[in-house]
Amino acid sequence: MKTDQLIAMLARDGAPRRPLRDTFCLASAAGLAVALVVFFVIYGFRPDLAAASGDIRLWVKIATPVLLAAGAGLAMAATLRPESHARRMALIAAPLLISLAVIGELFALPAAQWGSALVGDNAVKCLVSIPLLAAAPFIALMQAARSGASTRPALTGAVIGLAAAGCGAALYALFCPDDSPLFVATWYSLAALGMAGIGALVGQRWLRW
Amino acid sequence: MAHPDEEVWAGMLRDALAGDETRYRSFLEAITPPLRRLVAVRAGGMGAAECEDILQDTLLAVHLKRHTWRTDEPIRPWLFAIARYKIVDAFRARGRRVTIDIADFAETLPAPPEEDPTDAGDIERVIGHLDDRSAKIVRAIGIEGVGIAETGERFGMSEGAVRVALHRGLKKLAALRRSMLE
Repeated sequence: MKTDQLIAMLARDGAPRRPLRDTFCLASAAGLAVALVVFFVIYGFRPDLAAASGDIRLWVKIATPVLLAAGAGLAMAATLRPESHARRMALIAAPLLISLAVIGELFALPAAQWGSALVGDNAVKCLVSIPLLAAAPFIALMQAARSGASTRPALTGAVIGLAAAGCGAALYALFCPDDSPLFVATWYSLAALGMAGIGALVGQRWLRW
Repeated sequence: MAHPDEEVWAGMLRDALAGDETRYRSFLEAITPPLRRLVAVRAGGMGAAECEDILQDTLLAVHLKRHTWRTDEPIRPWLFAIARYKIVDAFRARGRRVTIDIADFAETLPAPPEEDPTDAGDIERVIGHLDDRSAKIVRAIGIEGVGIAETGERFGMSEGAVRVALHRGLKKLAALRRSMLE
């Protein structure tokens, strides 16, 4: 095929396309909606949520994944255009907050209780539930990212994994009874890193163009 | 001071994204010579035919990813980033293939007939891997240059159906090219 012929053919497929931003708004809304359904069907709010709301630990536990989802979402959006550079600084807020909270917790808690606060009651459940709640946002964002043009597919996949883990963890935080930053920093992070790893692997294959 | 092409190309692609196919064609025609030069500079060692394949892959990618250009951002960095990505892909694929420089055999080979240097073979090769209907539509529009309406009449399809089939066919072509390079 001659290049002129190709150009003529491409020009005939010139119908307006949906802007990337709209694709992502739809995907985020759909992913979150399904995650909410999963949350209310399987989990639901912990019974003592209102009582726990006086403890700053609960707010840190919710704010950290929300910041992670927002930061990773921004970083992802930046990688979807071919000419853009990754915005790694966007990812720093959540680790910073939880690190400060861990330091505060180490001062607040006697050393004898560090171990039990870290292990908590639901470590395994946390590691299973966060990816489960993250699954729908993950799939929705990954599918939407296929219409983007990332020149670093594994990186884009990894930040999608983090964004989805942030959504899943923010929901799980409303169910999970373990509030210590030591627990959150350990198990929530492990779940998020796992999602980032899966995202990198999926992105590497799926987001090439 | 912005490059003189910047505003011209940006204006054409803005209109194109709103659905103006004439302006879109002008845009593709305007970017082709600079892209061809860029490919020649970066990948000239691969030979003219392979460079034209890279150019065509780049144009196909620009087409399928044109909505990733933000209309308020400079267009040239966006465009050349796509070209670079496609050139890197071609080099990666080539790394896994043995290439023989035909110049080594120049004296023993008969002179090839004069070929159109803008005629590249790879996209045409993958058309054969499309499903029958898509292949027929892509051949009619791409190679014979038949219009949308006439293609619809020929295959008993509505114009809308031809457009959908063409768009899907082009996406499939790009995917097939990618798997060819992997």
